[in-house]
This record gives sequence, structure tokens and C-alpha cells, in this order.
Amino acid sequence: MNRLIKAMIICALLTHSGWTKVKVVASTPDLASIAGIIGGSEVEVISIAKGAVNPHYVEVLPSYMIKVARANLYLKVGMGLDQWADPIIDGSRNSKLTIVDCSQGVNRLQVPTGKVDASLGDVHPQGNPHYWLDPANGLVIAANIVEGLCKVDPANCQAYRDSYERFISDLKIRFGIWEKRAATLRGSQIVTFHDSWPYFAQAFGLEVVGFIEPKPGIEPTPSHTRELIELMKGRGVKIIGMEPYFSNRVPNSIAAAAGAKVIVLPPSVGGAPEIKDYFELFDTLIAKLTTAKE
Amino acid sequence: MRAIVLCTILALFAPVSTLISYAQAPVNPDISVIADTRLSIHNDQESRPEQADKIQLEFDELEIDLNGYLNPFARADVALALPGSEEIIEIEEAYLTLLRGLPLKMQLRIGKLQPDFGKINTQHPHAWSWISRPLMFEEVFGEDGLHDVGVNLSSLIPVGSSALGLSVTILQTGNLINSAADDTSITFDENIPRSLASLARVSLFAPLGIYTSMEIGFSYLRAQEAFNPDERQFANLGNFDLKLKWRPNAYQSLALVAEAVLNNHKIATQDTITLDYNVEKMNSFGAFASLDYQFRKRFDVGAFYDFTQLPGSSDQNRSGYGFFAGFNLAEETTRFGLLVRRDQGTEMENYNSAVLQILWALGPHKPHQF
Repeated sequence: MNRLIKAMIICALLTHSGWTKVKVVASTPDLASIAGIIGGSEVEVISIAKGAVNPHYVEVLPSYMIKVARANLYLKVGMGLDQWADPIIDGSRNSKLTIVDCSQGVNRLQVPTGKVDASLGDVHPQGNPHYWLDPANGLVIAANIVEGLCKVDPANCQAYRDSYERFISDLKIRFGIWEKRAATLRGSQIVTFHDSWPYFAQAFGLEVVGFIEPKPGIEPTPSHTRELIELMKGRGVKIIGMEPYFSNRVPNSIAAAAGAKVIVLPPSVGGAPEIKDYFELFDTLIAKLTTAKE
Repeated sequence: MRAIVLCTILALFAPVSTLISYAQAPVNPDISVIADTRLSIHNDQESRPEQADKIQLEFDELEIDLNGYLNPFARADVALALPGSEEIIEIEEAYLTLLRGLPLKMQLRIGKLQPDFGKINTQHPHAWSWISRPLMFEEVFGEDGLHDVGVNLSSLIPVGSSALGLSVTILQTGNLINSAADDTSITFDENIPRSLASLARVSLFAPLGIYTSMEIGFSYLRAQEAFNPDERQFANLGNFDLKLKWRPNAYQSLALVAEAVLNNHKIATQDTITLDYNVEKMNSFGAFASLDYQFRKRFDVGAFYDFTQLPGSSDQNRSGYGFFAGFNLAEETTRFGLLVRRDQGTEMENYNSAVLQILWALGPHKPHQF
């Protein structure tokens, strides 16, 4: 009888330990980071894409499927960025998985109004999907994640809502600090490799005047490169920001011709060793840009 | 009494029919078209003398893909092929997949499908950098590979960070064992009843570090021989497949693909007077290996080796080797592929061939993904 009681006590303890953590898989490390902040010790979060990898192109691998097979909650970026998540989710065969599209309710930019086809390059019909780079959208992402966590783990819903409240106040305080640090960037013109930065630029007052890619997802061409150099010279653009997963060959040659400098701007958590969470992502981006501006 | 039964039936079905009418979501499936145009030249004077040393421009195939979810639990995939040389539409694949909800996290595919026998056979030809089907599959399954009506049940089992794949297929087929190259071999007879073949594949996918992954698989196929329907004879085929891939970023990757097939089957010769079959056991072997290096994202170069013993006579063999290169214009939607190949074998004259392949795709299904 004593053994039975002991076994029941051990089972009860286990259900409140790591054994019953909510397993969350996110498409990108940014969503994973916010889920980790909201979920705290109640969740175990992993990301499919790594921070230094282009989130548009992720190879669908069986090892990802088995991660999702064990998960309770999947966080998608949505807006056409992580279309590779669908075959991973399907391959997981997980019928109990709750899927949250974190783009629900975000302030969307660059939503095409006319016909969208491949002649425009890799244009997303639902708008530019790099929305996590505006801290205001971070709040919306967090709210979506809270709803997902409450659905899969109602017992801890209040704890998730409390974490969300702390996240809001923390992000607002940090946003004030970032705005002050980024004050010198307001009105600055930059060129970027891919059109990843409209949300960040809007949040911190930057003006992105051109792209290394002639059209989204299209590799640079000689004629476009020449035009871009002329544009940069004409406008006095001195900074080229490039994501860590693109080749620096063309940006370096453009920078040399236009008298500018190339800086690596990681658009995701883990894109540089010092970026370990969603807050440090903005710390690093603003530090890199303000240093380059000096 | 009848009225009560009728009313009960109507009452039971009324809400269902209402549900069905509202459940039809007005969403189109993904529609893709992939076209394969080829410019080729060869000096094969023996089997294709009329085309030898002449540049041929031909439309090889148009593939139409329709893919989409039927509901939260199932999806359908259809691949129609229109060979350029024939005015027919061939159903390459058309199957239903029950994605989730089955016991033990299994998935069920049913319909016309390319079964799990190795890896190469499950891919459509436009995905191959080496352009042409490996000789061992061409000799055993014919030019179009192995695809027919069947039921496939598969599962994926976690083993640490690796994934163990298990797949079982029952295939209704009549053209499994044949050899186009040799008259003495088993020959497909359209008049015999189609029979069931059973297939199984065990595979292990293992990440080897951040950028490298490996997949190995063993497949088995047991199928009735396509001769003498009165006496059931079975062929047993084993397949080993290996894929090693190193992909540090989107700009470069190195992929080694290798497969081998061991074909244990029977050869029948019919006595012209007694009409009795003389059955002889036969083993034949085939292997294929390719090394493909992708660089600067849109370019790739590689080499391959292709070998097979003829199923009808293991004393005879065919082999080929060559180089390939590819260039994707802008994105994966337009690809130029080049194949330079030398073919040789017993009792045949060696010949060389070169193919320039132009692939393009409309829609979400890409012909040759980065």
C-alpha cells in the first residue's frame, strides 16, 4: 500500500516537473524567443530555422518532423514566409498539434493592391512578412502565443497572461530606451540586401532607399548594381545593411564604388552570437546602426 | 412503421447534408505546370541510327500538378504527364493522403503512386541533376519507373535526434518485372492478370552536425513474375539507398546520392513444342552514384556513375558515366541543365550523348529546388 502511495506521489510530482512541459516548436527563433519569455519554465521551446539562416528557404527534413510530432503547439510566421512549415507539420502526423499563425492582427506593410505574379520577384501577396522587426508587432505576436498556450495548457493560462503583462511593460520600457539610442538614425538613408526591414525602418525612422536585390529573392544583376551605385552616390547613402545569410561579394563591391560601408544586420535572434533573445535583437541592431552612422 | 423509419433516416441525414454543403470551402488547389524541353545529340549508331549525329530539339514532357488539402486530415496530390512524343495524358500519380488521426501516427496513401522503393524512384525526373533515369531502374521498371495503384502505410519514429521511417506498400501492378533491352529476359505480358506486389522500406535520417545530414534506407519488393500465370513465380528485389548532404548555407551544398539494387528473379524460356516453361533462377545487380556540388546558389556541377547487369542475362551489362551542370535563371522556376554522358556495355557499341535541358515551372511546385 505504501509503495502504491509513493508511486502516486512520484507521478503527481512528475506531472508538475519538466515531464509535462508544454512543447512548443516555432518556425523562427524570434517566435521561439517570445514564446520562451511568455512560457517561462512551463514550456520547452525550439526553433526550426536558425538565426543565421534565410527563413525563406528551409529544407524540409524528417528530423524536423519528429520534433513537431512531439509538440503541443506550433508557431508559424505566416504571410507566406514559412511555407516550408506545412510539409513539416503534415509529416509530423501530429493530430493533437495546435497551430498559431503569429501574423494574425499585426500591422501589415507592403500589402500588394494589384496583381501579384512572379515577374515581381518573391513578393508575398499578404504583405511583407518580416513583421517581428517592429517591437509593436512583438506585442501582437506575444498575444497570439498566449492564446495558443492557453489553449494547449489551460491550467497555466493565468501564468501566461501574467507573463504577457510583464512582457508588455518590459518591451515598452526597452522601446523607450531603443528610441533614444536610435534618435541619431532618424531620417538616415540606407540600402539593404533584401527587403527585410520596412517594419524596423518604420519603428525607428530609417529610410530604406534601395536594395541589392533588383526584386525580392532575385540575385543582383550588373545593370541594377550600376543603378544602385549611382543612386547611393546621388543621395549620399553611406550604409549597406545585409543579412548574415547573403553573400557579401556584391555588397562589398557596391560599397567600395559608392564610398559606403557594409554592416551585417541579423534580422533574427541567433543571427549573431550576442543576440540571445528578442530584446537583444533590437539592442544589437540599433548598436550596429548607430556605430556605423558615427 | 415505414414512415417512422423514413423520418428517422431523414432526420439523421438532414444535418449531415447541411454540413456538407457548408463545408465546401471555395479554395482552389495549388496548380503547377512543369515543362521539359531538350536539345540533344548522340552518336548511337546501333539502336538509334536514324537520329545519330543529328541535333534533336524535342519537347520531352509537360507535367501538371494539382495539390491541396481536402480537409484538416487529408490532402490530395495529382501529377499528370503529357509526353511530348505522344498525344496522351498519363496519370503519373493521383493519391489521397490521410495525414493525421491514424493510430501510431501513421499516414495512409491510397491511389496511383510512386511507392517507397529507394529514393530516386520516388522523385519525378525533373528533380534529377543527372537528367536521365538510372539504368538499373530503366531495365527493371521501364522508362517511367515504378508507379501504379496501391496502398501505402508509413510512420516516422523518433530515435534520439534521428528519424526512423517505416513504410509498407501493397501495389497492384502488372509491369513490374521486364527488360526492354533483352529478348531472353522476362517480358511484360499485357494479357496476364495484374497481381499484387508487396514493398517495404526502412530508413534512418540522421543529422550529422548543424550542416550535414545522412539518410540510409533499405527497401524490399516481392512481386509476381510476369510470365506463366498458371505457375506463380516471384521476384525479390532489394534496394539500398544513401544520401549524404552538406549544406552550410543557401549558396552552397554538396550532395552524394547512391543506390544499389539486387534483383533475384527467374528467367523463363518456353519450349516451342511442349509449351512448357523452363525456369531458371537469376541474380542481377545495379548501382548508381552521383555527386552534386551547388555553388553561388544558382549553379551546380556534378558527376555520376551508372551500372546495371541486364535482368535477362547477368553476363551482360550496361554502364554509363558523365558530368552534369545546371544554372537557375533568377530563381528555381527556370533551369538550364547540361548532361554529357558516355554509355557502354557488353555486346553493344559505345556511344556518347549530350543533352541541354530547359525546365520551367509555373506555380508553386518547383522543378528543381535549391
